[in-house]
Amino acid sequence: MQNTGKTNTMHSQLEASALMLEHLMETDDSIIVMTADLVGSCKLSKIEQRFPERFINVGIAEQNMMSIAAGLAHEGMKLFVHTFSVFATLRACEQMRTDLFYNGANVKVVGTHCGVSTGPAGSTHFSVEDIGVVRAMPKSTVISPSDAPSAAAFIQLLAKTTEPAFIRLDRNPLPDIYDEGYEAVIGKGHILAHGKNIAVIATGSTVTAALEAQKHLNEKGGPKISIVDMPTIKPLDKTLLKQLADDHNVFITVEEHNVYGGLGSAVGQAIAEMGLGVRLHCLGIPDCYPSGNPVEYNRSLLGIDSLGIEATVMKLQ
Amino acid sequence: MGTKQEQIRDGIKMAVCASGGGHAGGSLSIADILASLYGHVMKHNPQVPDWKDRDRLILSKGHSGLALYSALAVSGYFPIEELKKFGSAGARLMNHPDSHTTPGVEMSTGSLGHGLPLAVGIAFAGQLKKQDYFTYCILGDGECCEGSVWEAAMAADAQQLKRLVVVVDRNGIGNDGHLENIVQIEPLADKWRSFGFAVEEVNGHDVQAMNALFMHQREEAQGPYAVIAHTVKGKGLIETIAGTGSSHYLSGTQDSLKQKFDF
Repeated sequence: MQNTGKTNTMHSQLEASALMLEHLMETDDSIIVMTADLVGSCKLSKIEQRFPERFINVGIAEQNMMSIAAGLAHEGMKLFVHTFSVFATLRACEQMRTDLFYNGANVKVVGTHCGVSTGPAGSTHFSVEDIGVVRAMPKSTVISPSDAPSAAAFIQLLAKTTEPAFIRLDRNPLPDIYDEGYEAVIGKGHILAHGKNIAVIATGSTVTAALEAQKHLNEKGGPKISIVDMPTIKPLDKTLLKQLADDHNVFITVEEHNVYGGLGSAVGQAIAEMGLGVRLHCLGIPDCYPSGNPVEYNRSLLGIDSLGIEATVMKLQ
Repeated sequence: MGTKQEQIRDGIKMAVCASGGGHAGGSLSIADILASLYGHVMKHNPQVPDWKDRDRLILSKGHSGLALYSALAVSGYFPIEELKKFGSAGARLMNHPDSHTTPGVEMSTGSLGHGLPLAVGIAFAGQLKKQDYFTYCILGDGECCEGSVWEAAMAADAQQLKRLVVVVDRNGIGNDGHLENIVQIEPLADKWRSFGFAVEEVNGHDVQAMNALFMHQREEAQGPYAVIAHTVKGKGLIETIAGTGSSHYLSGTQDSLKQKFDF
């Protein structure tokens, strides 16, 4: 399922997910797609055109969207609601928590434009708290795929589950890591490169950066590190962490999310709970509101690009 | 036995006095609305709470769960005696309704401003699936300060939800006293009208009048409807408490609480 021959091929998680949803809607008339005045941004135009009776645009009213979705789900419909992750998880935070997760409504929240992927838009549009916010909601599932094929596969999987879940997607095309045979499993991480001593555990867009760092370190004869993709933050693949602790003594987590509350916090909690005795270094947004900037420039400033990861590995080796 | 409305009030009194307190004010102000809906208007089956053709009711002002519990108990969803366990350790009847534990509670509510969009989703699903159930949503007048109420109102109009009925408990008093001292929500009927609702005002304690109004709406099915039910907060409490902010939440000993009820 790991792509070995097309690593330079770029695809949009948003387009791949929308295409998958459109495909699923052809045979499942209980699926309803919603958005809050972001049809184009969330790549939903085709769905709107093909299935107008099962597409609801509520206007700029994210709280309303969440609760209406919960009401529809209460009547047996399967909901996929789309908006920027920052608005889904902060503006409509309480609706997600109370109407979706507390009520157990079958609503899948597709948080788009996550992390700093809106670039020049700035911190009002960055979503660097979403993992932490949703992770803290009881009975929540938090998914953060690393490329387009895995994002589509998770959408396909979520259409079959009956519990609410949150999936965060990048705005911009990402290099394919997997091929279309990717099998999405909630709560399972993947070792993409085997090394020893240092394991870089990444999620979302930062998995590509971690792979680039590992490749560069190999080329220059640096330390052999392991690279792990953790597409599910909650539930976390603790079995994999335990396995990694057998021959690694340093974990470096990388995420396009604040260093508090996200993947790093989840891994740290797991290390402590299981007594793994591994040193943890968390890379992410360093508890600040990043300025608007071109995406890659921002990732570089924040130390979550390949160079930042590489530098951290060299410091900790 | 008494009338349905008397039984519901008795149930509220029983629960408040046995448990040492509760949101009596807002519960008593909607007791007669629920008597009309559960006693005369709504299609429902206490033996099969999730009967697919039932009418749905969302109590958006979830803090008035006491009234809903009493209406459900009186209707046969669970024994009336269970009302005495209200708020006690391990009981399923707590301040705000929980659909996971309590039969007849359509969805869990308690945080204000959530109920109408939930009801909009339920009504829209009925429309999509060509089911003819009605969806009723009871809002507090103070709750109408929540922006999400009006987001949902816009959506109800946009989706032309003909079988959605919003009932606003217009008792005029919130947690902090008279609503009009805090915020001006009038002209409330015009507000709903301007959001595309067919609006009627009614005495929220006149069960016969409400029966007639709700049944007319069911025959017509040209909603969304908004019913502004003029009520007295704490209706049935003694004169010094009824209609005042003091009725919002009662607490005390069983004897002292009994003395606060005028029936």
